Amino acid sequence: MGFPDRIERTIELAHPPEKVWAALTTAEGLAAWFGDEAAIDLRPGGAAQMRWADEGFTARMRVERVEEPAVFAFTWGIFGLADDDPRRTYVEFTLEPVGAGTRLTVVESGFAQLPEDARRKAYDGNTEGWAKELGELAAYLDAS
Amino acid sequence: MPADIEAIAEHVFSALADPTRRAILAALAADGPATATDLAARLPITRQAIAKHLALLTEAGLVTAEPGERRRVRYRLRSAPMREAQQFLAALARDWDSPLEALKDHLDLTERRTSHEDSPDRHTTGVGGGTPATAREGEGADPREGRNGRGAQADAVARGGEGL
Repeated sequence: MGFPDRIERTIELAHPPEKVWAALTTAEGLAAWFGDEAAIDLRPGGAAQMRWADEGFTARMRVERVEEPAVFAFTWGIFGLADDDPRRTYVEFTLEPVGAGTRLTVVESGFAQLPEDARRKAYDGNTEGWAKELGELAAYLDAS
Repeated sequence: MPADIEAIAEHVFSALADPTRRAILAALAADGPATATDLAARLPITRQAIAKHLALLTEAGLVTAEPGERRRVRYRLRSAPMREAQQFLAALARDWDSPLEALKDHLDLTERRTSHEDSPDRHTTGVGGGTPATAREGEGADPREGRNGRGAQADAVARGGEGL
């Protein structure tokens, strides 16, 4: 029942973790299979971004875990939500050596991560914020 | 996933499943708060039917009634539940299968590239380089279908990879 809060996939790759790591954590690697363009500051807290040219879409990520060559994680905004929406999902890649290859697991979680109270507060804050801004604009226009 | 979040999304999806309620919500989203009478003037629906749907939407938390005289009550869209529903759609639209396939193909191609010295530049990709070499070898159709964005490129890479 219900909708997924967590999405998990595992794939077996016939390449050693070092090669997979490079594809996941370098701008060149990410641009080759994920986005059309990529930039990454590979350290926890570092910024990364990927751009899809045809869609004119840019994803901005924050690097969270860098444990070469085993764990790479970042957070990014939830596609389809407003750009200023504070909620982000957490994406974690785990690389395990299997023979000469790698078992790669990706887990994206947090599609419904915030407790009800926090969300309610954020939403109501936004709604009130807009009402307030519009009220201020109206007051400003009335005064002039 | 807490049940109440799902309940909120369910309200949204139920509301959107009905064309009259869709029209009412769209009118409130587009033009701001309105009374049932305002809406009846704009939509091809009787005021009574609109009032009935507004009561239902209010109960579901999708619109709120602003205080006022009975016939002058204005209804305002509540965006919070819509965002809950968007979150669920975002989870359903997330596509990891395509990008992971693309990663696999990318690694395989890189492997072959390094073992074939006769065409070292064939699949060169770079930062900001735009279309990877593999995509140029695709079928020519725009592979970026849907709005999930991240990873839609995988199809192009996968198609390009098959022919090699």
